[in-house]
Amino acid sequence: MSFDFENFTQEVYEQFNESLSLEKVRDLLNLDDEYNLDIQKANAKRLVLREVNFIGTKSNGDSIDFSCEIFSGINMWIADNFKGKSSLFKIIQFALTGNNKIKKDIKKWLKEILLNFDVDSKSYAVYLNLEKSALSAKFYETKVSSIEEVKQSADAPLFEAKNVDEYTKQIQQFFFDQFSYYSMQWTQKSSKKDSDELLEANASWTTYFKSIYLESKDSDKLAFGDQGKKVFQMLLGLELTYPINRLKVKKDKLENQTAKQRTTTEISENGKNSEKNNLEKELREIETRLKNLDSQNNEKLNVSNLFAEHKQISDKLSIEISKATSIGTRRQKNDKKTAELKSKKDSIQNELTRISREFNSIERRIADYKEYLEIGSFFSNLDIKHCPSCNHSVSENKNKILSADKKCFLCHDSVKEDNNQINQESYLAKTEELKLESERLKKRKQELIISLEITQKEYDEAVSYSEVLEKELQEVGETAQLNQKLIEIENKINKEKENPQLPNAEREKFIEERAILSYRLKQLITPIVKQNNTLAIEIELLDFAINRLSEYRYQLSENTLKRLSELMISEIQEFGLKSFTRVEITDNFDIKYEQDGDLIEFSEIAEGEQLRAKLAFYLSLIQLEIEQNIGRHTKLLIIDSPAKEEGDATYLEGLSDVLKNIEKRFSDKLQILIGTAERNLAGVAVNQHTVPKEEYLF
Amino acid sequence: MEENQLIKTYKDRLRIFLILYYFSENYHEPKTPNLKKLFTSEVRIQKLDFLLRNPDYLAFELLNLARGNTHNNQEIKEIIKEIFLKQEPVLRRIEMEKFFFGAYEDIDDVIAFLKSIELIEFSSTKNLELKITEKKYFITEKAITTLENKLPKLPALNWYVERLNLIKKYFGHKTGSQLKAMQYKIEEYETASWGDYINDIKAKVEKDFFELYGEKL
Repeated sequence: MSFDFENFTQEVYEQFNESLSLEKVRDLLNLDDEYNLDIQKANAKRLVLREVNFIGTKSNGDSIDFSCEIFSGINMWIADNFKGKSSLFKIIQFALTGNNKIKKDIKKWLKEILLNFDVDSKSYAVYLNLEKSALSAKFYETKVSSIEEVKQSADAPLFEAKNVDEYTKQIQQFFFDQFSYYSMQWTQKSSKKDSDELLEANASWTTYFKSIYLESKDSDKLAFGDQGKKVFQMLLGLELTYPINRLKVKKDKLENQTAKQRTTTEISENGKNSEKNNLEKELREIETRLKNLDSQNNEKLNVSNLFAEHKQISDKLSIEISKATSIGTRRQKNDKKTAELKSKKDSIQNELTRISREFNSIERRIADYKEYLEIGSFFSNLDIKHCPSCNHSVSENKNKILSADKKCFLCHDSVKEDNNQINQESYLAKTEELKLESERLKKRKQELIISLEITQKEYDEAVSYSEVLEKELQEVGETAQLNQKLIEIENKINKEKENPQLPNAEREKFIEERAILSYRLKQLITPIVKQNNTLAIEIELLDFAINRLSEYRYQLSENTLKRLSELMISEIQEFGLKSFTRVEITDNFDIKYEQDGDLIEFSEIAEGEQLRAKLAFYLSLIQLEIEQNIGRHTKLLIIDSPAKEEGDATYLEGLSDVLKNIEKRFSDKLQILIGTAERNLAGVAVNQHTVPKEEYLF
Repeated sequence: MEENQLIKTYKDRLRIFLILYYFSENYHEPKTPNLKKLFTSEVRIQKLDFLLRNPDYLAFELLNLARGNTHNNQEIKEIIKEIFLKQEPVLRRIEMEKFFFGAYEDIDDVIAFLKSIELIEFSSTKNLELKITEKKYFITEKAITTLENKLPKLPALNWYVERLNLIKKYFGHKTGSQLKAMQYKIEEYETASWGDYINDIKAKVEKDFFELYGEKL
């Protein structure tokens, strides 16, 4: 059932009909009839990689011609670290998104890439040529069996691109069309310090691709980097997600406009002030003339004293009122500023926590490498004298023979002589790399700390200023009392004036002029307030509409979200994490895990258990799609070094069980590419490529 | 071997060896002149290893001592501050699982390795039901020479030496069972389920430290 925009407009209008017209409400809520975009788009397709080829010539003259078929289910590459597994995945990522994260040393020799894949049962092929400084790309709507064939093929490509940006745009459009993605938006302040512009940011295909390519550097996040919740919403594709997202952006913009207008108001105020002064001067003159006239006309009447008193009080009153108004304006401005600073402070704090965590993990790794090398040196040159199993001595003679054969004394496997040397150099190089990264993070951390301090200071100042204003407001005299006094005097004067008095044309004219001047003065102040009010109401309206839509979405999708959490918990337990008892998904798309009675976030799950929880999440999304035809995951996962995240040896057995379990249940429904250095995982996947120790994948 | 696992194996070997070395008593037996020091009980290794691997728990135990007023509280305060200043509970922590008798990790491979290169000797006593009742670990003369020659040249490992001396100073006199009983008094340790990782207690230490010393860590 589709969402009825007219009914919704009516519902919102009823709340705001005192301040806004139906037309205006419709205009504010209007999103070009795209309220039902999410339903129209719900369709479950599947991306399956078929074959990856690439060629190039290394600087030492070795020519590389890599080609590998990929199948549905689990595909596993087992090779030592730094032997090309991650690079293979980065090459696939580049071909699928245009996002080039391939390592420098490989970029140097990589010339051409061909990736064949299917979306549902239709074949496609991407051909990338990196020989020239600008990328050239061709995208075919058919299978292309070799790089050679690209050159000979008479088939016209579906599209071509002459550089990376162009390709990124086109491939995004292709996948957006295929998987019914659209760009979720958010707003952010311009990075220019003196700019108050609000920029619109769009989630791209590269952003969504993070839900396919699970890199080990993101292991402590459930998914998808900083815009996680938006990607989650896109993957779920729940009804009304689009209008909620777009109305939020609209609201952010209006709020920004209000803030900007306040500033401009202050500027135009100056111009108006001089006009106001003139009017006030004229008014005073007229009043003096009137008074003179009256005193002439009413010499007998002794009202001049009353007039004097009246003027004195009304002057005082107007001073007090203007004081109060000015404090009110300043307070409103300051409240807004306080709220903005609070949210800025929170977001800096969050970023700081994230960076600190990343920094710590790198520091830990650097220390680990250092220790590893020194411990290696500590235990080096100590010959094996006893067999640890049978406790028999290992004879020197045997030692010599095996040593000459380059075989291990105990297991008789072959041992490379320069093993240690290579190891040490590569670890030193890795340490250097990590140190650079650590320096970068440290700098960023410092910047964040400083900016947090500044923001905190500004925030504190704003809070204490607000207290000052409150105090000032209390000190403003009691206006009601003054008003009352004025009325009393006016009554007295009127009474006096009821005494016979000749009508006086001149006096009437002055009174008329006085009325006009007072009116103009009043007009000078009101429009600003009025305009601000309209914007405030519009923001309030959008806020109301967003909340209502979120409620509707939650009502419509409650069962879906409930089912998703059930699937998640059952997968988590299936993977052996029995201490988790419940998964909760809030209406704000936060995911919480209940463990031993506490609700925790993904990042708080023990490191040794995060990968399983993450796999459970994706498998649940995929199952939800199979069961209810809801969701838009591509059903392709690329997992780099799963064992790296789970340092514990007993876990390996668990991981191997998990993968076998997935292979058994889902091999025809999804595709997983795994790269690992863990040789104990051999035999888990049907489609497995094992590279001998120390050798390269390509 | 997977990199993380490789690093862990190396670190395990070093930690266990240093625990045996620093916590063993001098030993003299004319029949086996090569054996110079003796360490008894695997439980004690496991519990000392737990303190070494979890700087937050070590800090917590030190706070307990400080509360008892039997030690130099100012000195303990400085030690804990240093541990937290260097972020050890985050940077140095190596998670440990809990089994029937508290924190436990299989060290048979480590012991076999140390024995195979003759840094230690190892014997176990069995009772009538053939159950192992006591494990004895001997430090060899070769171990002492190796350590004295090599360790001073390896600065990254100095942390272990200093930390073990610290643990020895405050908890060196305790047996494995005493250490176990002491650790079981901590709620997070006691309530961890069998086979689960024992949670960190960094926040708890920060709170207790503030209560005791009125300073934030």
